[in-house]
Amino acid sequence: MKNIQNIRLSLPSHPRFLSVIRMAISQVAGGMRFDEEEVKNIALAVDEACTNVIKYAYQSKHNKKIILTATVKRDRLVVTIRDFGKKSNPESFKPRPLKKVRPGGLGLYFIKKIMDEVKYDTSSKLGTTLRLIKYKNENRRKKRKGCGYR
Amino acid sequence: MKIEERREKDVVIVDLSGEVDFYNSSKVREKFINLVKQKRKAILINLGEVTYIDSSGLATLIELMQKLNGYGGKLKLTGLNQSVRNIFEVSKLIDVFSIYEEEEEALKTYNR
Repeated sequence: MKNIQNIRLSLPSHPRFLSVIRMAISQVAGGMRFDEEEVKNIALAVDEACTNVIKYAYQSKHNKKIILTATVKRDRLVVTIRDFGKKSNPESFKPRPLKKVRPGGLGLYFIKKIMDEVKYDTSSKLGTTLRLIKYKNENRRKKRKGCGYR
Repeated sequence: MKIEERREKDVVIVDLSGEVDFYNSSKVREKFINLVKQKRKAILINLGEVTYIDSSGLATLIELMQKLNGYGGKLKLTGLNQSVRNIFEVSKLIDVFSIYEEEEEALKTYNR
């Protein structure tokens, strides 16, 4: 049996749905046989990305829309997070240096540390599509030289 | 997510349980701010029943630690399970906090 379970979720930008997002992503990544730690890390990265959408793209407005897709490929998991809020400016995104211990700024660090590719697409009229890719171990390619965007 | 408080002599022990994320970390922060207002000097956070923590939860802990340091208090953590420990490791916070395997062990260090 083919173990392909792509998902598409449309959710309100309310933080109470972050647990739903984590659960859905964990199910998909778990089905791809990422190891347990990787599954948890992927869920963390996607959670952080959605939190950023709520905080920054929607400026904590809770009645907006987030569309999450997870696509299973042979060698990788592709997650997209689409918002219709304030456009991201990826060039201004810099995870904070970890040596400077202070509250905040860790979310982007997690996303970049955990995922193999992080790309912001701001070409739509409204909002941003963030594309996150995690390769399976045997196919891993690291492309972590900053956030690319089209 | 649940937050419970108990005392062991002068140490305030906060037991957190469940998932700490952007949705509920403000409740944790509220609790911590109250302890800071009371100028509690010895606070031990028991994360034994925490199954998930995100950057907002970590930020709340960092903020508490810095506020306590500001008036000579001590924040310690105990009970991290492997999954939460992994998040502390990825964020390199594992060496920033005073972390103890066992609650008893952590409590003893407050008297030193």
